[in-house]
Amino acid sequence: MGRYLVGRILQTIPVLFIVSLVVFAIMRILPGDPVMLMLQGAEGGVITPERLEALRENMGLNDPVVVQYLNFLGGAVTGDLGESIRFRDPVLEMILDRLAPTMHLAIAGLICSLIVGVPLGMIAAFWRGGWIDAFTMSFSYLGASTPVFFLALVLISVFAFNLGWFPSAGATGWRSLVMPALTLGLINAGLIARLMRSSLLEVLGEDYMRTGRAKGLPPGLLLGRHGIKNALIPVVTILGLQFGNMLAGTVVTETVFSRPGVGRLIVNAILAKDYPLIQGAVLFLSVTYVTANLIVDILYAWLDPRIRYVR
Amino acid sequence: MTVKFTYSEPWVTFLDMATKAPIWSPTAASASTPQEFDKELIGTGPYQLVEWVANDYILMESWDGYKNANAAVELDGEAAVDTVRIQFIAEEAVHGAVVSTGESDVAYQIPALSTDLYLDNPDAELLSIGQSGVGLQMIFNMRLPVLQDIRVRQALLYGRDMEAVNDILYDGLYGEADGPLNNIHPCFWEGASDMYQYDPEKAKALLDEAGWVEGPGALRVAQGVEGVEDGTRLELGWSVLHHAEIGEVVQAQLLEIGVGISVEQVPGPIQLERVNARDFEIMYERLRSPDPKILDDIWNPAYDMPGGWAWTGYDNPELTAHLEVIAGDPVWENRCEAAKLAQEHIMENALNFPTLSQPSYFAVSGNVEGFKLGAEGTHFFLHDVSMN
Repeated sequence: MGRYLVGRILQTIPVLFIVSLVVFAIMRILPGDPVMLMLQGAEGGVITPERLEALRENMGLNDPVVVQYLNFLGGAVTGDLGESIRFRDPVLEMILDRLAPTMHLAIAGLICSLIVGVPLGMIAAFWRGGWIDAFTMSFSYLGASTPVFFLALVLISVFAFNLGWFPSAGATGWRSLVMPALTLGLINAGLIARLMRSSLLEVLGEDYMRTGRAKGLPPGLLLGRHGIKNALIPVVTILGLQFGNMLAGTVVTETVFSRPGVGRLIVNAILAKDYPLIQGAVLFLSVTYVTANLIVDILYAWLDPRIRYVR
Repeated sequence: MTVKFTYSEPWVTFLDMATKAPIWSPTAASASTPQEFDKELIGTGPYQLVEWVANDYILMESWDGYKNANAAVELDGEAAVDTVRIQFIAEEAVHGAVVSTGESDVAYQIPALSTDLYLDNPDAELLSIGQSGVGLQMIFNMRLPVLQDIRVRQALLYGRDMEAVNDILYDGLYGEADGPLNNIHPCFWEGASDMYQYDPEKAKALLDEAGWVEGPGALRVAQGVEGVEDGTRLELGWSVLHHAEIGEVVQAQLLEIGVGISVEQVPGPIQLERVNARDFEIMYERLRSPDPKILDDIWNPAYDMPGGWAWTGYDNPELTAHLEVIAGDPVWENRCEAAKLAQEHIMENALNFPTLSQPSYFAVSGNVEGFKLGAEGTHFFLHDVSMN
């Protein structure tokens, strides 16, 4: 297990290196002069070439691209993601200030998708071919094809405006988390339900399950001790990817529900062409995603001992 | 305490500026860096900051040491409402509905299409205030050969029907902006309202005269137009920060006269890049102020430089002379008269494409009394507010 762990951790290093390179390159390829943007509106509205050049020099934008990248990478490793053009605040500080609402939402959404998707998949497997199986499959297609913002607005309309059960905006208190989490969770629950269904069907057909039934084990005990744990392996495998979906989904969800998270920060940064903030936030979320997948892989190895011993 | 301002030359927009630029405590300013300063607010108003969660809300509480020094309010001393929570709502539909659902007591600048929630609502009130300054104006890039012919520009103006746009998109709720200044501006030139009434036949005739003839498709093509290759289709870009829907309706209207408009909505930084590079055809430009100095900002060629607001490339001594009076004469009546002359010049030469004026709408719960708007709807007063 130790060797497996070390191996997986070492594998993340080149992944993070490539992510940093891609993020840096994209920001440099995009059109627009960040220095011009910083000075727009300053000095009575007129920008002097001298001021433009001085700021460019100060920001290191006259250095060779490789030097700029190494400075960026060096800063990122030490926690310095630069300063926001618009807010003049350290990027990392801004991200950390907004991280909690995003993590709450992503985790809550993930839990919601599991709470809905796993039982639904199990029920569909048990009653395979029946109406509930058809319902589950339809639900998964609906989830895959429903835009996040549409579901969010429907939930707001029903549960906030009409029933008044939950607030339509903000991030104060647990009640403000329910609808955003449902939005993300319901859309992703369909995939989990389908995966759980097919995985459980496969497990139920295995020889050891047939042997257990032949030995007279109660169905509940058979399923609980032998069936579900194995059926969950594929679900756990995609948890990391699902977490990535949640993080991506927070960009729209936080905007619709006016939650002050990293997703909404990225949207505002893109609209303002705040390069350091976009760069830093995307890199941060990428690192979070890679870390989440690492944790999932470790969890996967714990669930399936065969994984640990594969060279 | 008396503060005295001394300047080396007349500053005709001083009072307008004073509404936008508060006086900071030098002690507070020197104790913070520029980054810290806007988070360490020191003021003398009736409310003090309790908590500020960025992108979420601001919580303020009444300050019991307040001594009324504001002539705009009636209640003396401490404010009647103990706490004020300002919630930031990013989603327009939610923003427009929060007072009708009871989640909020006041909604600031709601979308026009949300106003029907409050028109016959016994539990809420709808307030509106017109926007001063320039309307949702579009300006032409006069450096381009296609737009240098006044007949083409006039044809575009004759080809639009803003009343129809207002009815289709906003149920007639938006205001009129017939010229370079809004119709409600104190220095609005009345003659602008009668110029360029919707007349597609006249628009077509002007385009024919200018050498833009009917082509094989829906769009006109150039034939003998100076600076334009024969056969070039008459297509123009329409770039806006918001209200792209206005461009889409105008697009359909101008197609009737054979002009193609491609509408794009861009964020602010992209707009600034385009204008700095002079890479646009028809561009949105709006400045808001009751002072006519905004005409000088937009039309004076001295500001045709990076960071300046004069984007059109138009340079005319007669217009510049009017603008100099607006910018330099301390007598309001003289400035206002010069502003009208400037507007007349701009309209006669079809230098801009006025569309509509966007009023500000506020929804106020029936529980609230004493809520007041500022002159331009960009600020409001809470000091006299009480709750039922």
